[in-house]
Amino acid sequence: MTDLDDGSERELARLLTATDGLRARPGFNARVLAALGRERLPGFIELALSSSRRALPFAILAAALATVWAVQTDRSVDDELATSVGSLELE
Amino acid sequence: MDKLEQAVDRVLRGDTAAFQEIVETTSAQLVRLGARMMGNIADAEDVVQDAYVKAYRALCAGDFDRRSTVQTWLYRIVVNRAIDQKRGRTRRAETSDAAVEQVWDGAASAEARVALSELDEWLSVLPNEQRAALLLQSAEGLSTKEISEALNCTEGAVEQRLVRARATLRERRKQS
Repeated sequence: MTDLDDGSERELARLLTATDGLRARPGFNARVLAALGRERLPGFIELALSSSRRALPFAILAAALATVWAVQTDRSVDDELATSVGSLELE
Repeated sequence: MDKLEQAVDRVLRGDTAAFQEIVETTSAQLVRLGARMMGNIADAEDVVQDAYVKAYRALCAGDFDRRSTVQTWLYRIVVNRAIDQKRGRTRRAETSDAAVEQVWDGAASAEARVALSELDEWLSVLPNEQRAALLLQSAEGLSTKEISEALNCTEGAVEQRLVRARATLRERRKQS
């Protein structure tokens, strides 16, 4: 509803036009950037944590695969040693 | 994709310095909205600064879902912060007899300051949500859909707020 015949609409439009010239105090952007600068370190930590959270499933999978590989390698070494010992005993 | 969206993309890729571009592009508009919500420049600056810090944290945490434009999203954060601050100020005023500190309205012209004070008084009869809806439509030129995204409500609720706000202002004008 933008009935310009309505006095209240005209009044609102007048006040909005009159306040178009409102500006922040000098140095406002610099103050905001300084506040953001204080945020940056926690921001990076948060980013690192969120990245870590995203990487967690891959890390678990990699750890599980490494464990399986280590166990299998250990068994094959044991088998080879057992074979060698058995061969020596037969000799 | 506009300059603002590109700056957000750069922040999302880890270029946190790109946030400066967002501040420089949007601060004048957001401070003006904040001032019209709060009734003075100093409170508006506090609100907008807090809003930027919140937006920065949200971007770094990957919480900006891009369901609305960056501009609408920033409007939303500023309006929410302004409403919270106004509620807090009301509570403080109710619980304290301390004199209200006179705030300096900064670089605004004397005419703009007088008009802001008049606008604040004129809109003071409206609940904060109606005031926000009216300002987002009449001052910022947002569509009903964009206002609904900014105020996190349905388009029907926005239309209802606008109708009620205008009816209240018309009634007030008749009485004065």
